[in-house]
Amino acid sequence: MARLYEHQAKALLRRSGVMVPRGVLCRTPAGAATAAIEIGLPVVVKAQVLSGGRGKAGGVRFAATASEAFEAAGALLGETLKGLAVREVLVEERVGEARETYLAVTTNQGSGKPSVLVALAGGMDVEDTSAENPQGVIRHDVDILRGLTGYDALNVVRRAGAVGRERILLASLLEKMYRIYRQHDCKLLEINPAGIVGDGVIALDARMEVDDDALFRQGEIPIAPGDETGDRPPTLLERAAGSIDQNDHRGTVHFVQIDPDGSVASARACVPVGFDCVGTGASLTTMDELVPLGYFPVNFCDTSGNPPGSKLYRATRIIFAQPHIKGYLFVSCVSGQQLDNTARGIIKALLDIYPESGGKPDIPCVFVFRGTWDEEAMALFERHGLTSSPLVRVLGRDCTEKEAARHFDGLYKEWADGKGGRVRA
Amino acid sequence: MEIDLSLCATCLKKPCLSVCRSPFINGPLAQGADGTLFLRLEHGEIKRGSCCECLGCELECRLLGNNAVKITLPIPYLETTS
Repeated sequence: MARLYEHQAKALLRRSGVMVPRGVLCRTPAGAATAAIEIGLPVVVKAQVLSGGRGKAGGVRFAATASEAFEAAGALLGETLKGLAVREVLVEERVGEARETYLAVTTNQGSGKPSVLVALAGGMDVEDTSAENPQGVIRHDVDILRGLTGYDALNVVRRAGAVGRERILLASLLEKMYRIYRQHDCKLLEINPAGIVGDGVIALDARMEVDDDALFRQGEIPIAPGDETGDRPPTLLERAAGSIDQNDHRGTVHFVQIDPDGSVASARACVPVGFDCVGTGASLTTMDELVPLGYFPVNFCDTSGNPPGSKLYRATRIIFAQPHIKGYLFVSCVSGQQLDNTARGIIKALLDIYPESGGKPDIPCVFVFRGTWDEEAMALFERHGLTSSPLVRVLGRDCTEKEAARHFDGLYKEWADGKGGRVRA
Repeated sequence: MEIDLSLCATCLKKPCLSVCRSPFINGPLAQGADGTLFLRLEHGEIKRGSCCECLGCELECRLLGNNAVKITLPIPYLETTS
């Protein structure tokens, strides 16, 4: 899922005909002060981080003068808000009194349909108010083939309690939001609050999340491909992995760094290991077997759906680029993909990473191949001389996830005791 | 992909041809009457998927041939981290 910053979402909304406050993106306190004068006081200074709840966390500050804007930006820039570094602030005109409402277009996981939501009591506390008064939040599932018509939108906002001019304004905005949601392959488009003012309805805040599998056809979305990384921006390795599937949908590579710098493994007194799996289920099962033995997978990676060898090559290179790993485990579920191609990709990666040793790694590695062409995959490792390494163990279809973890444990302990190969510095 | 044809000239087994598999009956890698290797399909077709990128040609050439095939797979952003 690719999430846009507030300023990015608002720029896109503005281009699509939605009213947004005038604003300038700033990276310095001086820039914020200048922007405040250009826009016209008073202004709002808003930290740009990929997290909700910024207002309650102090990430939204009002400024009545340029010096206050300078101070507000200075207090935010370079600091951490909700665990995220604040590198930019959005300085916006402060909109006067406005009735704050909530509108969103999202996916109803239950029905599998796009769904529009409207609540007349929007703002920072919308989750609390909706919990207290669930009838105040109106949800309407949309037939994707039929779309959201004008009278559908009017009916939804009417059911939410809007009357008169307010009803027409909100319905119009809801229609535009649905069009934007569909046009830009969104998973979520939320405007909270949508402020009803004299001129119309204005998006005071916006949250937009795009299906990252659709980024290849969303050229105007200013996001580099990368897997969902929650509330933090993707790391460089995640961006590298995200580029693998661009314009190539033969199989998939899903890679996320769970512990980019090894600090989590260290805090838990666990050994950090690189990890790849065919199948998310097998991945989670294997992780569940590894962790109690004292090993912490520093990344999640799923290379499934029959990806070509070239994708496995890239994924393996990325995993091994994590400098803190002290071992590597690859496990396939009982897979229908061509595991010989999978093996070739891994072997080529090892040959490139360890050219002096002919691909033999300097950390313990366990590979488990189960499924179609699994014997061919194992044979490839042997033919390339990798199984002659005391640090490599290749296992087949009779190996369970539990056994794979135990094999790795045994191999690692041999290595750590200095009995199996060189000790990594 | 680069193939050093001068090395192919002395390769008797041509394991690259044996391993080349694709959705087509014959893979994109072929051998002419004079024994020279060539790509049977247009680059556009190969790029669109008629080469399944199994890496078999390179690895088999390394094992059984003269190590003439070199496949380069760039990884954006990775160079920045190394």
